Amino acid sequence: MFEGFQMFVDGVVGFLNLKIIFDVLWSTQLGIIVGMLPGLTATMGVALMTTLTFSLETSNAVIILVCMYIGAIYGGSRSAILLNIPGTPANAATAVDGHPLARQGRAGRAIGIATVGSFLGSVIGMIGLAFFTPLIGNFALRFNSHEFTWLAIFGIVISGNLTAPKDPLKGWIAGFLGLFVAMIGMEGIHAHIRYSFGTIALSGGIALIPAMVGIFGFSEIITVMKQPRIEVINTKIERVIPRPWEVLQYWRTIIRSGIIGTFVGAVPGVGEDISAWVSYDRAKRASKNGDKFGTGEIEGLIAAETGNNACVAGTMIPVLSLAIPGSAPAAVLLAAMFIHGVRPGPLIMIESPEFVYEVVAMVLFATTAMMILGLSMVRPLVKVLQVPRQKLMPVVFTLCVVGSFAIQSRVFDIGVMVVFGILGYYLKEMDYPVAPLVLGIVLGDILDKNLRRALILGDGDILPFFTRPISLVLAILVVLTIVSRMPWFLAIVGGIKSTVMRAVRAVLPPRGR
Amino acid sequence: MEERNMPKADFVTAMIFVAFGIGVLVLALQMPRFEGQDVNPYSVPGIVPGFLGAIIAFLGGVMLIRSILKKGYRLGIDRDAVTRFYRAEATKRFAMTIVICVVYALVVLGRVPYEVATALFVFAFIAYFEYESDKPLRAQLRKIGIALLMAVLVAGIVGYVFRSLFLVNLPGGGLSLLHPALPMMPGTEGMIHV
Repeated sequence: MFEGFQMFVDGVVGFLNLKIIFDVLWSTQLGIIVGMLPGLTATMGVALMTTLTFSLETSNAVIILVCMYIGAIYGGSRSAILLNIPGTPANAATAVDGHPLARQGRAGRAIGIATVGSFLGSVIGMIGLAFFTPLIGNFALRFNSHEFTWLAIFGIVISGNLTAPKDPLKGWIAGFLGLFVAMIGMEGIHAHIRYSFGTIALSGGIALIPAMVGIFGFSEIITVMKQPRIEVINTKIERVIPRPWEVLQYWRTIIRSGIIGTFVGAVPGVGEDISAWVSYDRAKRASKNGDKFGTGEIEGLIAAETGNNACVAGTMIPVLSLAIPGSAPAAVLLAAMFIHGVRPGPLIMIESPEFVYEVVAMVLFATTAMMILGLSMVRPLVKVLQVPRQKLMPVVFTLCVVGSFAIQSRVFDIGVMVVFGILGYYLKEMDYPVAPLVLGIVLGDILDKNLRRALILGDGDILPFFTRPISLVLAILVVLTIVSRMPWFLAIVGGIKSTVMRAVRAVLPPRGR
Repeated sequence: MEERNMPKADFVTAMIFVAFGIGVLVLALQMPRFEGQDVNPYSVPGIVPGFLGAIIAFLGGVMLIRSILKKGYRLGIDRDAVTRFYRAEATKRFAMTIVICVVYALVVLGRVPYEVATALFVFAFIAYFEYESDKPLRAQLRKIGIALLMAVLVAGIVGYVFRSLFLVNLPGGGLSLLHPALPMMPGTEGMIHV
């Protein structure tokens, strides 16, 4: 514990130089702008930054990406409050109470409270990151191929379940499509080239970053350009910095939302949008003003913003400890770490534990920068929202092209970006969530190698998948996750619940007699 | 997409997924098993893709049944519906966005210097979406001038920043007057795979 704290302090001290502080400030500010602009998401921002920073030193590059990520998730609250259009999907819940506040002429107050909520959420997430990453990393040292196989399947199933609330079947299909995409190209055991149809470029496989730039960049451009013109409302912005009591009176909501955000973030492939909605929903149920949520209730705004920013640090827990991303931007972060020669996963606590605490220090720097920039540059940044989409989107597409091409200098990757952009657009139009697709691309290789290794270890015996204790727990979780959305299962659970309640009432003496 | 049209879309996509899953499975079964090379039969390359193909086909099948139960097979495509779709303003904007972007990314880039291709793209994009056909061209000269200025600025700034500050190669090389394309180390193309 003390060693961890010492490494964290070393990380903070190591980053205390002018160049890093300058990088932290510009990348967080850029993140806020990326997050603010509808059509530019945190995933795309982190993906583009990865291509720009791959020539930098590891910790310098990763801190820029972390700042971009945290800045973008926070920045989306601006457009959610001012325009009722979430800048990133993570801020959809923010708009529910944030925009009514802006319409009441309290936009500045809403922005200030969203900023402080995001800051506190991020701090809670950071504590969770520092505490749980070593625990999970050490626990995961007991995993072998059987457990990693189940973990990959569990990631897809839970991500599909939670990101497609209307129809989990679509989430699962998207996830398995992602796993298939990872099968394209040369496999890692016999070097056999799969599904390339004789194309040399395909034999190298589908690279993650161009696919993600397409899914989160080009598809967003298509969506934004297809929509009718957005009318920008000129909102007067008054005092931004909130009084301490305005925020601290909601300390229960802040702590609850921070914890929810961190845990939802740690679940593979779920991400900030779900954590914001879950936090918002819990706050609504717990609040005595729950019926006023949706009409400009500060508590709702705080819950959503605390939840989504706590999630950012939470998504890094499985990235570092299991090499499994907690969200789409975290998938890019994971890819960036691989580019820079860091090997996240269970061995990280043995090979380079100091990197884990450096990441915690990075979150602290990014969070502090977000708070300072968020409270200080509100009025000039509102002008960014007034740039018409037809002028902004070609610039975004130009960046998508460069971002896809830059890492490998392959024109083929531009084609991958375009194809995945169009595919992503259609999937989203038909209510297929794209987060499981991305998670599938990341987990495909893990599933491929570990399933085959496990079968080789057991000489084809599948029993160890169900008899090894951790495997069994994961298998039960997978089954429960699947059946939990089936009507017959819900009916059985409901039946058992009412039977138990009847029995309890029959046994206990009636009240008031 | 409107909620009432979802079963129809599901019906069509479910059929595609079933066919796709079966295709993946068949190709996986045809993959080599290296029997003559004393390879462990559980390590063969077709196992995992075959498993995935079967699952995709199964999930697609479930969706197909569900969409049939919701009468998604009644696609209701008639001349009026097709005409309405093609005439919709959203369809035009959607199609033109894809056309302009695809022509730039897959046709023009790589054939002409990066700055020229990018300037053409930015100009075409802004000019198309800002031009109002019901107004005379003379009244819109300012808009076109701004589009031209933005095209030149974006192409020049992106080209300069990425090549000179971030040391990144750009597709199609550069205008030699501004900055020569960075040389690639022989054999390094495609080495980093992320």
